[in-house]
Amino acid sequence: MRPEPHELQELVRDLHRQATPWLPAGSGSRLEWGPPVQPGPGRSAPLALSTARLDRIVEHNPGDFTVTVQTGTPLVVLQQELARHRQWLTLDWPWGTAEAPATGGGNALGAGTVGGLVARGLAGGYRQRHLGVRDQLIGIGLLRADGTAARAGGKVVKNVAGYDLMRLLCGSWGSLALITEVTLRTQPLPPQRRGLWLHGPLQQLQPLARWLLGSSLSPERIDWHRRTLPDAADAAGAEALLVSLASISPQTLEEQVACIRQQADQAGVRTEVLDPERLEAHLELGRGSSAPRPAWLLRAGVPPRRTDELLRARELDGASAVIGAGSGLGDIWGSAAQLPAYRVEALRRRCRELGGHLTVLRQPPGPAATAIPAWLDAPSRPLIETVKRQFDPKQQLARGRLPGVQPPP
Amino acid sequence: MSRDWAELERGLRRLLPSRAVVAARQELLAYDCDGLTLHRHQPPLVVLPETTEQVAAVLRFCHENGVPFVARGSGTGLSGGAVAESEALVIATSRMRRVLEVDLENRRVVVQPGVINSWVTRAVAGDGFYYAPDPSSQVACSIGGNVAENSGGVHCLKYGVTSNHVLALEVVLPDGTVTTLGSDLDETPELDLRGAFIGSEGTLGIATAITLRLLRAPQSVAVLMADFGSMEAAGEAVRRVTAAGVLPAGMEMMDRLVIEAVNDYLRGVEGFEEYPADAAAVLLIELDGQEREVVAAAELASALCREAGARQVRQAWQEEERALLWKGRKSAISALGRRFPSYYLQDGVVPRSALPRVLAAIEALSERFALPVANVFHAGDGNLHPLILYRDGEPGVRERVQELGAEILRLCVDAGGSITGEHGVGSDKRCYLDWMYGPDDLATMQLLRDAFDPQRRANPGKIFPTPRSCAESARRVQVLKAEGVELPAEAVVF
Repeated sequence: MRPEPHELQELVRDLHRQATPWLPAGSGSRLEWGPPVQPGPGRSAPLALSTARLDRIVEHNPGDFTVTVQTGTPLVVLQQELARHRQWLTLDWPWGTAEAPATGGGNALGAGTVGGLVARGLAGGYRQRHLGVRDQLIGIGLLRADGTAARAGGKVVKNVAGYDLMRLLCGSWGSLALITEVTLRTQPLPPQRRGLWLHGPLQQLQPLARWLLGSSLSPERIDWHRRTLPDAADAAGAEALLVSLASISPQTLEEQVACIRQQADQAGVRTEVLDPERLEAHLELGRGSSAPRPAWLLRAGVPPRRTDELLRARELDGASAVIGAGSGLGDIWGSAAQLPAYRVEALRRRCRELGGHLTVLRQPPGPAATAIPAWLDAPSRPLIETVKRQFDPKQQLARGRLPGVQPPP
Repeated sequence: MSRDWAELERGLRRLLPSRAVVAARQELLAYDCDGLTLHRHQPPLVVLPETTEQVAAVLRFCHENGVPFVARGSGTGLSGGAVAESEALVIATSRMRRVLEVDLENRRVVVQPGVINSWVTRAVAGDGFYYAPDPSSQVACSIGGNVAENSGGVHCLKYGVTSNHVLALEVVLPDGTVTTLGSDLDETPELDLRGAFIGSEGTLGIATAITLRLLRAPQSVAVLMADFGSMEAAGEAVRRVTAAGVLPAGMEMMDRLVIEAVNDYLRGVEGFEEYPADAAAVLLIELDGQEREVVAAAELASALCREAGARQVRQAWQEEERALLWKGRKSAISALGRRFPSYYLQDGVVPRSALPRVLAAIEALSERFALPVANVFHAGDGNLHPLILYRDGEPGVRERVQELGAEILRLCVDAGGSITGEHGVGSDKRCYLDWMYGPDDLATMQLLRDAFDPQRRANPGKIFPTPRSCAESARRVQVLKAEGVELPAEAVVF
């Protein structure tokens, strides 16, 4: 359903009166990610309530570096509008955004909506410099399961009045409310940007990554790539580091490039310098452009220092991966043949042994009984369930999909 | 409701070592206010637990006996948040001062809540790391208090506030249950209750172990100081610098009243160069990062300041030089304190572009109330800290001060801003919270509270407007009801 903004609240109230389960949705580009949503009695698929008609950029204040936007706005539309003022939202396109949407010609739906990005709360490599989705969120408007409209936060970058419902809703996967509007921080577009593609044997890349993380350089991203090139071999040479640098001065940018190149040469690692266009092409590889809609899409996280061990893990054989060197967070994907289910289970165990976690965003279709749970119980599960009951007493929203609560088989 | 505190004291003594229970009147005096000395309430009883287990035992005891409690760190807060207004047990974390774990490889440290903010950096500085949030009370304030208030500081423009730097929390819930929110990683597949807990001002429970993110100390730091003939020109400089893509670590502004007071205060201090007497605004910009980047940014920012009308721009690169440029800003409150024996420090936020307009309006209010207002503020993020200066003892002056403070906050809200950027709502501003949020917004926030603390015993009466303490809110509800407006049931409690 794609209600008009003025119909939305009444519709939600109606659904509440009838206790109908429904799923908050944006453009629907990634609705199948995460645990399956129970459709409710008499339905084969969950009723998705889309914010597609809530697509207005309400207010962009370039001087304040803030933007208020309705959550059905396609991410690409927002970034284009910000770019007109030489600003941007410092977040990656979500995984699966194949074409370069900012340069035009892209499919607007490919990147999904602003609301989808916030509801999933998954950030990419720009986290290295700019932190995550929740760190950009300064205000929120929402519609509760009973149709009550509420807001929290505001339109200023610094604000501690009232509870931080922005963080509560960011990454809540539609389980607590429909997010209708958000206010986000923006940043000036860096005047200069360069990429570096560093490739060579893993044992030579690893010290280089450690050097980069400990150096005084402040790259926007330092991403491990594993088998992201279409023709990447399984053996040596399958790994690379993608580094992106930004600066206000072309001169200091060249100096940083030279500095990294020198270090790479000494380490026996090959360096390819990327102009912004080629950098974007490499970023696309990291979003899985060479393998659209893989059977498996996993979100992995390990403590940053254990990233080496994750990359070396036998369980990863055959899979493609992009992992932030500084955050230990990233995406892993592969076909059903490349990644048998038992290996995904083993990979989850490995991530947990390393002190991290693994979330299954996509898995091959099959009987529910054999499905791998998308996420496991968090230590605070009882509290999470209490929060859920407070916000959604009739358990209408995204039934079966509550982050931190292992979905029932 | 009157409680038998002697009986409760006996019960608590069975759970805690005797040194952890404070009941003597003279000792309780130390807990009667926080940094906001306007409001004083002596608590009936204070406990000083040292471990998570002790906090849990105390909260279970409170739960079983229906006792409200107030968590307290160092007591440096500026919104009355750590004061027991009604009879409640104060649980002070000042003996929970252990750094539990330092993990430089993963750039994180785990501390107990009573650990002082600046100790964190001190513990890791030798290895080239630091903890970014730096409230001006950082040599005294505790990390637990920072978590409760979501504290900021001078450098939060570039590096963010407490919630950007806390990865995980071990929390004791109001019923005594111990749980963990978040993890060692930046992202965890669970509802972000850690994020919701930060800044909840002690109303959701007590954090007993806090995992903080560490940052690499910058290679190079520069401070620029520019003076301007008008506040508008200074505001324009801030706008140009940020629009050019320079992201300073901090940008601090001082107005004429502060400049005069600082000049008087520091005159004759070795190395201090007086600010030009006719300056209407002094802007300090701190830049940090890789050395060549900082040099480029300093050159660009200096040029932009001059273009905006700066008369003199000074640069400092060495630590001692930088400290001298900062000295005026850091002495501002003491300098004003010498001229005026009492002050009331406010904390409001406006969109940066509204700064000149709001400052002019504050000046007009200052004249109307016949009370001087000095402005030192974080110019980069629009966080104002107006200081209302007064002489205590003048009849009726406190009421006038409070009224002016409220009017200034009203200006901030009307400009699209907030009643607090970093000091919290506490008891001081709870009656203004409904200027920003409607009944449904506040009721939605209470849903979160009811999940954590269904009996609302954690820091009772704070943040949210209550009819008893907020006559204005209560009156408004009555008026609305008289007009026949149907309010949700929850609205009655505000």
